[in-house]
Amino acid sequence: MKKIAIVLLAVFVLFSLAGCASDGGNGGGSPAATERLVIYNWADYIDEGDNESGRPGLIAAFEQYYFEQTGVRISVEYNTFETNEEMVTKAMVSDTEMDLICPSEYTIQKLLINGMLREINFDNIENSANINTDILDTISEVFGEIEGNDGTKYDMTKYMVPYLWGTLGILYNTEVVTEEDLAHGYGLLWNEGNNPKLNGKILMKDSVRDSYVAVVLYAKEQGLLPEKYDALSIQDLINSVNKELLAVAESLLLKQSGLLYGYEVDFGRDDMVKGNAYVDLAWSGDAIYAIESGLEEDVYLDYFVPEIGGNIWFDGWVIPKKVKNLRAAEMFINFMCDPVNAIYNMTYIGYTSAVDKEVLMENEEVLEILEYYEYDPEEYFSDPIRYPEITENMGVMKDFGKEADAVIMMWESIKPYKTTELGIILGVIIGAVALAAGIYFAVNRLKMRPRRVK
Amino acid sequence: MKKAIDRIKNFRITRRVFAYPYILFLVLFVVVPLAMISVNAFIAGGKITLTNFAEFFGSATGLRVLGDSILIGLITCAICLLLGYPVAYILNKYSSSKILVLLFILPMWVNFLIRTLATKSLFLMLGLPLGLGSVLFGMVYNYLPFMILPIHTTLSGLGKEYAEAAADLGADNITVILKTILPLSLPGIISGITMVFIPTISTYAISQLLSNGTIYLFGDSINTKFANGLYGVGSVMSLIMLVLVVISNIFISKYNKGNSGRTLW
Repeated sequence: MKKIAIVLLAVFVLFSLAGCASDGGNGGGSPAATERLVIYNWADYIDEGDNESGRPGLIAAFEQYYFEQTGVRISVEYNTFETNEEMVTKAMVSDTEMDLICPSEYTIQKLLINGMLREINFDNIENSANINTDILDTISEVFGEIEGNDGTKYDMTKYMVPYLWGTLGILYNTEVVTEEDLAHGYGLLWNEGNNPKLNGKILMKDSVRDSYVAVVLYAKEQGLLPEKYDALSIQDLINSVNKELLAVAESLLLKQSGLLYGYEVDFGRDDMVKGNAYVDLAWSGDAIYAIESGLEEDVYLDYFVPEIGGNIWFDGWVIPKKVKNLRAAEMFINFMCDPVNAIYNMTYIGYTSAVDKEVLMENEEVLEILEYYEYDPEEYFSDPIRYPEITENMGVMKDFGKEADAVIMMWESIKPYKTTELGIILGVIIGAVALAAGIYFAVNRLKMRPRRVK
Repeated sequence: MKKAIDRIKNFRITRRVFAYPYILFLVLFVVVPLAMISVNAFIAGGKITLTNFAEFFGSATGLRVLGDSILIGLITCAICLLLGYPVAYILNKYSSSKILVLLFILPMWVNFLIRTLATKSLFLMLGLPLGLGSVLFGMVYNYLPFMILPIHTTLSGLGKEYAEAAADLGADNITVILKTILPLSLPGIISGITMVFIPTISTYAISQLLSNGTIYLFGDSINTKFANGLYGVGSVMSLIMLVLVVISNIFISKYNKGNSGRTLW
């Protein structure tokens, strides 16, 4: 009995010691966080600080800023997702806690249709005045009035604050890809130029919507679409889904699968920089990041949006109705729209901030930061990859609505492996084993026979 | 009321009490999810229907993915068995086997994701193409210990007398292995096969990482379904996995009967 008491005491002492240690470890004795902000954002989509200068990332900086402004400690719970579809599932079906989400425009439309978003009070987000109005105009023009399932009418620009934007295009290795290959536009992803070096070196996005844009525009380039689609604008074409189009897309994607290095959403830029792949369907920000890192490795990359047109996209902050910490969510959006924080984001991840470039160019601190990272401001702000023109040929994605499932099914149907090859391998293994066993038993029987006769 | 108070008063720490936390864990993380999957499989559009089943069994894609996965599972199993059985047999023969066993288990202590990423880097470094070959390599590498260990356990419980007796009766070395040791170690083999086969079918990280997403297995498909909110079909596919698990368990217990419940692990 006594022994048990001693053991229990020892355990108790150990636990209380451990408790002390962990208390002491929490930010040098600072009081524990009392508020929480749950954010869902894309992976690799925010500045994470600078190890050399010791500058903390924007999340940590926000926590500090929030404390200075309100006197309350906050801990930001930062979650990431890889595709819009994955994020919507989390937001809509399960009751995940979230205060702030950063989906793309077509997903915001879907969330609005389902009545999940809260109107943003722009009075609390002063910095939203910095946002490029062209972006807001484009969004208004494309989406107009969105009708929700319950009949409510929504104006998207009142529900989102644009965060980053860019285009979908093709990132390629300038040493391998020739002028002739480039002339084929989206055909580059199908190796239309028959460049032998490109076989098995092409990367495709493992994201249905982006791949659909590429395949439909490729079909248009090649004249593989039925005539009635000729009159459609790029905008309407990339948002059209029906059996006919899906069948064309499926056959083209199947044809492409033999040429691919793989499907990716997150490792494409690394594979391009390492020279594992030579062509990648990429977002402009990833392209800029890859081009810059490529220079350090002596790998020369470039990016283009084919002449026929392409997709321009806008990701924005939205606040779901189930928000728990509204004040912090609004302050976070405001914090991200600050020109200085915007440029930290831009230099870190390569994507283009929705903060107007005029605002950025006029800000002294922004120019200093650019200089620190060895950019020429004039070149930086006139880069056509970073600041593409919003033209007629650039379409914005819209929600597919009920057709979304059919598109996912089409996307899955191109994935299964060529079963025949597997069957052959299995057949060879089973055959080899059977043959070995057969020979053994045959030999054995021959050996056995004389004994039995005896 | 009184009864409840009595119960609290009479509460004693018995051996049974220590099982409660695990039972709670089991209910929360095994029973509840299973129930949710079973319910979800029969619900579509808010109604109880069989449309999810119809959708899965009606689509060529789903069945082809399942077929691919079963084939890859079988191939992995066959390779693991061909590589693993001799290893388990040799491990058993030598007295230093404990260290050898340790060497075989050692990689299992490294997180499988790190192992898989390392395998990928290795393939890239050697300039080998990623695809079916790399996926099979990754699968075999990851699941080989699951084949070796059950066979090793069975073999080490076997006792040398059987082999000696067979040899005394005039059997040569190969006959001893084929007619005595192999049949007697069958429970280990069956256990090894199920330990390898079922996880390979449902893997998705290994196939995705080692083929850059070009090899699409049943696990990947289930993942896609759930990620895109197609909970009904995803649940049906999970149920199919469950059926495979149950079948393999029946298989194991059938072959273990003669062994009077000796544990293989």
